[in-house]
Amino acid sequence: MILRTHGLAKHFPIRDFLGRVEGQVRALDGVTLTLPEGKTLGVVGESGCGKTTLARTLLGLEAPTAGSVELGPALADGLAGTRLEELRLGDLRRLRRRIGVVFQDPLGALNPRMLVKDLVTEPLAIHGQTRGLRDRARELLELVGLNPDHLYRFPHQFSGGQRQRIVIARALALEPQLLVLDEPTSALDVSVQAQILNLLQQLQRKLGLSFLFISHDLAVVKHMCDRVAVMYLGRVVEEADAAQLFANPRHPYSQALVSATPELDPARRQARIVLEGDVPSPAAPPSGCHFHPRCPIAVDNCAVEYPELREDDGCAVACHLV
Amino acid sequence: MMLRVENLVTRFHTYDGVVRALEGVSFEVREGEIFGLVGETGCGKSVTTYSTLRLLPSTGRVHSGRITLAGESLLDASESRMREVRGGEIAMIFQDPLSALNPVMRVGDQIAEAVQLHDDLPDAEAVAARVEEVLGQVRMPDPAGATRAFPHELSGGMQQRVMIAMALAGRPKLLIADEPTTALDVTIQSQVLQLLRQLKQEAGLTVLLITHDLGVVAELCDRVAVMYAGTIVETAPVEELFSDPKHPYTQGLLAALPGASETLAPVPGRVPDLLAPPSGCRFNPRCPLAVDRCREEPPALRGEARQVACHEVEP
Repeated sequence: MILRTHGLAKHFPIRDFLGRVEGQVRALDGVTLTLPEGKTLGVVGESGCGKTTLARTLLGLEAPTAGSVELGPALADGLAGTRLEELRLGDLRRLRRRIGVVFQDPLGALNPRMLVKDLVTEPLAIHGQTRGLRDRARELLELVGLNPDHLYRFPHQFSGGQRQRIVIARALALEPQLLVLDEPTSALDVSVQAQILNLLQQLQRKLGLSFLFISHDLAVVKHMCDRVAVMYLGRVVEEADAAQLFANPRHPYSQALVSATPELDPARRQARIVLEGDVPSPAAPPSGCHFHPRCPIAVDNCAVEYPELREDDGCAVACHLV
Repeated sequence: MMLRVENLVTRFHTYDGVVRALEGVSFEVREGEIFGLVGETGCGKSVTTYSTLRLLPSTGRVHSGRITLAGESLLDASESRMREVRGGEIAMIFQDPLSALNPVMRVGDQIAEAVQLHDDLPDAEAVAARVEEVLGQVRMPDPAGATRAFPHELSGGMQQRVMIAMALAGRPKLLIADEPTTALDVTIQSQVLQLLRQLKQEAGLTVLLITHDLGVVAELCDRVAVMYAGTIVETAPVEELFSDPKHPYTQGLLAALPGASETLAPVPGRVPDLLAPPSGCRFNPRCPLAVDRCREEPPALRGEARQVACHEVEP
């Protein structure tokens, strides 16, 4: 275990024009998850389900409203505590060296006026290292499959895939234990996406990294992840081994999501479950189980009582009927 | 034949030089089918549609080729005739519905505008009836509420339905859908794909679908053309394309998809700069089969039901 969350919640206040709090957006509403060490945990779900808020909370960029984040030994080593929310500023900074992050849009993540050399070593400079930066930059570029002679170029001189490599090099500069990957290939074409996914897998094997892999693309998640958590409106509705989840999804929402994934091979294509309606707003989630208004098998109790995530031989499902 | 594009050559004259965006693009869209045009960023999918609708920016010019819609040559048509064709015979929907809708106008009024442009209706009631009819065609839940709503009050899937309703208002012969589901979540994407399939079956709508997503192609299209760097490399019925890809680029593209195998096989190299494309076949620098002839002579698209543009592969 590299990291575990317990009932993690993050609510954002909605204010009216006088700044009075009118309501809450429940971006995360009690998320309990375990990230296995050296493995990849995928988090899937549609826009607004809280994937990115989860990533930001784990990075310490958002303070959780409730719940806790328990750090595994690899992350908590030498820190005063093992709970993220209890750490003081100095320990929080040391923790941040151990968690790297890669976001979707590489061009937005790279300062257009900085040279590649400075971009990939900026994290080192921020954490106080001043010597040997150029050698480290060459090492990092080589690690991600870029030409180390390109140190003195600007981001616009690279293609989309190469830019994402620069972002990955930068995320690896401080030798993290955990890499948070938030839609790392969504902005890339398939042939380039394949290069980046292969690179990530190589890096994981070589450096023993743990990945939190956030994506809305189920084919990519299936390819990359060992375990998968399915989120809907701020909650985890199912968590299981990737192979099991895709072969035999249990929660009705996971079933719809898996069946909605376009299948190239007509022989393996199954009947689509087309869900009615849209994802409700997290500012006013439905009562009981958040999924019940769209659920094909909902019963009366689903509108009243929220089903807790129940675990059963390595697979957790939040549904009254499963 | 609904739409026939023959040897289309489109170039952009920029300060950096001439961008050879399309170099001899040919394909046919048959009546009542969903035809996919698939390829990666910058391969010329959208330039093909803008050439067809004669909506190229001022730097772009169609140098040669023929485009015929139900027998009528679009490149020779007058500008006033083209104004009738756009939105009339050929309707178009785009990737991002919110930026295509007017944010300060009620949805019903926007659809009514499209209706009035193409139909000479006697009074407001007839217009409202026709608006309701097209909203029914796109299976809008609560059509009365939707007509009173502003675009931002609708979800992404509903906005795309409104776009499709406006497209249907002119009773088009051909609907060009440019990445219609790329901005949508998967469960909403499957709703929109189902709608397009129903419109094809019930109303006999002909669709030219532009996409980079091979999954969407596999789900929706009858036939498909694969584009690479401004050329068509392969045309095939959709099942055959996926079960038996002929062109090395198509094969590479399918092998790069997650799910195809344990380790992904990326296509080596990168897409060429169209300011100075490679001579001969544009794919030759990345092609595992390339021989000397590929570097000298651009391959023609050969074959009947299945077409391949490659010297080394038989269709």
